[in-house]
Formats: sequence, C-alpha cells, structure tokens
Amino acid sequence: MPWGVLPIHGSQLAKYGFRMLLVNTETIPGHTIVEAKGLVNGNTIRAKHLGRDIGAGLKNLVGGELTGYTELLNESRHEATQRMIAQAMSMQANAIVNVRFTTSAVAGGAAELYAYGTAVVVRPS
Amino acid sequence: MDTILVLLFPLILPLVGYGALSLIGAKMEQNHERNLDEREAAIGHFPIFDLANVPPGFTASAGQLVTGNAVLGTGWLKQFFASFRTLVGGEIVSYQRVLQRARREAQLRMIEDARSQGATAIINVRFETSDVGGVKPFSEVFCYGTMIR
Repeated sequence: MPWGVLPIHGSQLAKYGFRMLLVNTETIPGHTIVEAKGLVNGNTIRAKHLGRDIGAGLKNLVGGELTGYTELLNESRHEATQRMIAQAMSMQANAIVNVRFTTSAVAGGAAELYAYGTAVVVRPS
Repeated sequence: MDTILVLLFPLILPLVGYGALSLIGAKMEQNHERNLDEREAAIGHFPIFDLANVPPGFTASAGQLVTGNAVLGTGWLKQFFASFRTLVGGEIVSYQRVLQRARREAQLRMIEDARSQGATAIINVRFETSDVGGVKPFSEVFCYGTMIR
C-alpha cells in the first residue's frame, strides 16, 4: 500500500484521486511550499497477538526473519501515518514534509509507533 | 553402561536438539545472505543518499516517501552463547551478522518499493533500529527516505 493514501477516513477523497504528499525532506522536488500549517502527528500502540508471539517464539528457535512481526509493524506504522494524515487534512494541508518515525517498546510486549511531520500547502512549480 | 546412557539421556537429548537447530539456523542464515546477494546483484547500482537535498547530477520533479522494514530474531543458541560473551566483553559476531542482514533486507525492500514507482534515486535515507520483543531479542530495522523521479 503506498504511503499517503487514506483508505478509511479518506475513502471518498481517494475516489477523487486525492493523495497526501509525504516526504522526509524539507522541500519537495518540483513543488513550492506556499504555506506552513504546523506540526501534525499520529501514534498507535500495538500489543502482539498471542498466536503470532508463540509462532515467532518457535521461529526464533533457529532465528531468521519473523514475517508476522514485520507485517504487524508495517501495518501499525501505516495506521499511525493515517492519523497524522487525517490531522493534516483537517488543517487543509495537501502535503507533509520532514516526516519522522520513532518506535519504542512500552510495557512488556507492546510497541509504540509514532509518526510526525510538518503539514504544508504546496503547489507544483 | 546401559544405565549410564539412560541417565545421560536427558542431558544428551537437548544437546542433540540444540545442535540440530543451530545447524538449521546456520543454513538458513547462509541462504538468506545468498538471497540478498542475488537480489542486490539483480538491482545493480541504485543511488541512495542520506543527503537532504537532490544531489548534483540528479534532476527531480516529484518526491514521495518510501519505506522498508524487517524483523529478525537471533535464535536461541546464539542468544545463549552471546550471554557468555557479555561476561568477557568484545564483539558479538553472531548478533552483528543478524542485524546486518536485517538492515540489508530493509534497505532492499525500500529500493524495490522506490523502483516499482519509477524512482531514479532515494534521498535523505534514515535507518532506525528498535527492540520490539521486550525480553526476547527481536530487532526491527526500519529504513525510510524520499524517492525522487
């Protein structure tokens, strides 16, 4: 799933081809920032599924990639990003620049995914 | 003799089990490294930078976030031996290899994501490593950047 597409909140917007532009640089190539709206952020805290945890534990007997966790963290990061996008949309922004991600393990077996950036209005230059 | 064997059996069985698991683990690690080599060779040279701006020699008319991640477990036996290593200090080579594999995998996924969108390069690449397993050493490597085209 590409970043910046809103499947839940923005389903109608997605239908009309709306897409929030996300970059982790301060400027967007080919675009001019006309207005800075301010900081936007989104987070989610995910606990691991017991079944997945047991599966990962078994897999870890030999080591190697734990695909279940890779997917879980990817989905969670998308969710945090969507909350950030929803916030940017409520500010009438059409892009988020300087996006940063952080991950932290909170209280045994749960991880927090946090995304933040600056909501801006851009137009193609 | 037989009684000694019977008495030693509970001791030998886990050793055999761990031995087999470590052999499987080592084989899987080799396969993964070979797989990474092949995929990297197939892509060839794809320019990625941790510079914030479009580097000289590149032109860009659009940018978009691209990401890649991978969670890798170390394996029980490696954890067991690494716990001895922490007593005397020094480099833990087995962990170093695992994290390097995770990093290559995450980077490759990011590059594959960018290439599928017609990118010419990725700029402002950042790597983030986090421990997601709590007490178990599962490490996630997350890699993100802005693809330009």
